[in-house]
Amino acid sequence: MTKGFTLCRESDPGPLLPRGIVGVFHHVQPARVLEGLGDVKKVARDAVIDCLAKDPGAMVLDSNENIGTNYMLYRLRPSVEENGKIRVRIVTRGKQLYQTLVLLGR
Amino acid sequence: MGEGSGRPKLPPGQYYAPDFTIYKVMGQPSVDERLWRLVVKRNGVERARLGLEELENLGLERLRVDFHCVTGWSVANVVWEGVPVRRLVEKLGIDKGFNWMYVESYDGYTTVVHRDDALDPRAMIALKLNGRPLEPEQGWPARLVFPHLYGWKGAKWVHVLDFIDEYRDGYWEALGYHERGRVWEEERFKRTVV
Repeated sequence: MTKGFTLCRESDPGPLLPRGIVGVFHHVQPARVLEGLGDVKKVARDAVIDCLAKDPGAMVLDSNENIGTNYMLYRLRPSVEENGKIRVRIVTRGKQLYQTLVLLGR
Repeated sequence: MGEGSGRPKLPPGQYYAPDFTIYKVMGQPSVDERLWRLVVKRNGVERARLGLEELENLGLERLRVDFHCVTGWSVANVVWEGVPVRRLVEKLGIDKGFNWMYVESYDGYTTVVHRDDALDPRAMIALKLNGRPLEPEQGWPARLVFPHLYGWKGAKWVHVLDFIDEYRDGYWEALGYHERGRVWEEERFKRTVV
């Protein structure tokens, strides 16, 4: 289920729309332990299905970085790009899922 | 904050770096000092428009603090000189019933700051860094400084301060970074798990 959705409108684009981001879903999920990249990719794929009602197929890791005390930021995308860009940002703290965002681009 | 208070000097998850890493996520604007204005609003309604000299005439304070970036690096003993945000609010007669301060920069960048953080005595509209006017890449002619918040809250090339009642995400907040961003509480990211 989604918690919040930032819509970037042409009439009030803010800074995101000029960068090609038309919407951001803050995806609420139950807390859980992620054992590795496979779990992270599954969370990402499930989030896209839930937010966009489309199956992106396999997700691939664009990058990840360690930030602060045990935070890890993962950036993922579908292995096959279709019309419109989908990106997923997942943050874990230790092994715990902390945040899931689905970004919709144009 | 931290120095002399009995707390560790560095907030959790930070390390000292020798110097700033300069981020320009929206690019670097070219600002004409003669045309630069700080626009102050209350819920979107303009209340004042200040030039650089008018801002300086509110009186400058000096602050020596550490700077903390959400990516993990910190720079020690940075000296800022500028106008306390609280003084601006009081001099312009902005009522303190607002809940957030929404910030817009000349490069299109936005961020949002909680009322308590905006009115913190150390919150500042900085005009000088280490004794010299800001360099363009550091946000000349004016940027915000909140020593107890991560650096993304300290918008460079500041243009608009809108004191608002309803929360609104800024650029990094929309991309999942924390609404408040307090360094000692390690508020880096929004939490979307239940």
